Amino acid sequence: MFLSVRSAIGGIAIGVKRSLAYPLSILGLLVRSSVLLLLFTLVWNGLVSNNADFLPYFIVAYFFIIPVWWTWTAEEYTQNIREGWTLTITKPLTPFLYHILAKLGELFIEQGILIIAGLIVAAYFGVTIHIITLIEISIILLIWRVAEVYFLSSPSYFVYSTWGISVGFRLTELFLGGLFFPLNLLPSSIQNLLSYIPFYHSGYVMIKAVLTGNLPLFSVAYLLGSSLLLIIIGYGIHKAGWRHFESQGG
Amino acid sequence: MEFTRPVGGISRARAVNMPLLRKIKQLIKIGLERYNQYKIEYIYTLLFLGVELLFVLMWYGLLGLNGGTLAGWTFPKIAILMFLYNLVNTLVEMVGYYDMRNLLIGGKRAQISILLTKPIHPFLYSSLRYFYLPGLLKALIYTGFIIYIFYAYSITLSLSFFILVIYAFILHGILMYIIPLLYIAYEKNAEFIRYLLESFAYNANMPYTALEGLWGVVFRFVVPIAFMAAIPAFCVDAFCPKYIVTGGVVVLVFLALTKLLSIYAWKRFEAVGG
Repeated sequence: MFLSVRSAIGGIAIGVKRSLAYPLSILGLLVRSSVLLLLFTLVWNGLVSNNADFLPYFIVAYFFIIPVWWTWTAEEYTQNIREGWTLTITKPLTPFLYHILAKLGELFIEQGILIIAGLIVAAYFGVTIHIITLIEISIILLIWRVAEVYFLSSPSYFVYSTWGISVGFRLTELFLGGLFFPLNLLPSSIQNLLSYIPFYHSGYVMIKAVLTGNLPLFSVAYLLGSSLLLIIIGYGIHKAGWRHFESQGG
Repeated sequence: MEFTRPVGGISRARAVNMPLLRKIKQLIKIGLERYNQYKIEYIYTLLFLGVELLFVLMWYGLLGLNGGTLAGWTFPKIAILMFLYNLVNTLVEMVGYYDMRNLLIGGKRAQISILLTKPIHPFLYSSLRYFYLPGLLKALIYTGFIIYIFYAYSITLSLSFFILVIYAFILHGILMYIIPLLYIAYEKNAEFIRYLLESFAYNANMPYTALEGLWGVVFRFVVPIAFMAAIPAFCVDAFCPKYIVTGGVVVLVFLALTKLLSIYAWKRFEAVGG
């Protein structure tokens, strides 16, 4: 298998067309982010009064940081493997590469629209967003998300569904990554403990970076290192899985 | 589907000749076998539980910094809120919500038509066939945690709690029923409304009683997510007649709306050749 640029662009184009085929779904994503922003800002303001930081924090979290589709990307790949069609129609791209490129095509549209909407909402409420930092963290988070999906989809050849592990990852990221509430509300001892896991850096640190314009290099290095680790582990499992898949007549 | 395919010139009614109970038993068996083959589901269950426990512990840390209470919520009540929400959600979704939705998206009208075989309702068919067995394990564990909190914090249960928990089950069930109905009526275009409903419902594990004024009214009566977990947990040891009455009204109104939606959705489905 070799990478053909034309094929790669074709894969992305398929994703773009898929996304544009259902404009109401895109509207649904905007609605979801808005609802989450509303719910979390209201509830936390009700619980912890006199704190003006919740609104900017959740604007960044729900429009810029939380990816629109990553939870199901691994599961969709599992479904493709289960249906067994991927071998024939994704050449010359590998099935996973095709899958990710198509998803990137969807991402350009859906996440792009979310980011634009987020900038409008932030401007309306007078929240300052550091655009250069936003671009930087978007690239870093994209690498992290691809590594996550690559790792999470690696059991696809052995199990019926990877939905469970994907949702587990997402829930962990939501809770421990500061996407449910700002982690600075916790005691510093707990914050120090959480800083050892990648979700702290992919969530809370990135949100703060967009608001302050200060992107800690340690967090960037930690995320990139974690991504590399996930890719290495995922590669081994994908390779073994592909052998298993082919041995079963896939 | 294996019960309903017509055999060469024989009408569909005559091809379906298994007694009802035997049919239901077979569907349940299919569902159980399906999930028993995939024992990794049980590992996922434990994984989720671990994550949710971590989250409860985070609340413990948060409340500790705020003198042990936030807007009237103490740690035992927050813990009951988290576990109760997950318990209700798990039990309701065990009846195949996810697979019912998957059955309906992607233009699978033909399958739905096949499912419309008496005497089993298609939703019941899907529920029995795709019964999520690992959910039972989760439900038992959440129940255990709730009982532990009651004993550890010497909570005297109120009657209000039990009544409000029933309301929570009904409202979760209404939501589970509404989403497939929307897919029946609008197919993939229902994704938009699904996002909206799920955005609210899947975040019902927050202490919404902290909201006052207009937003308090909205989240109690218009989008009643406060009744899905927060209000039952808040009233665990208190008599809340106001919530029992208002909750009852909300449940009745939403049951009526669901019935109307059901009639509309099936009529629309059949009108476009479903």
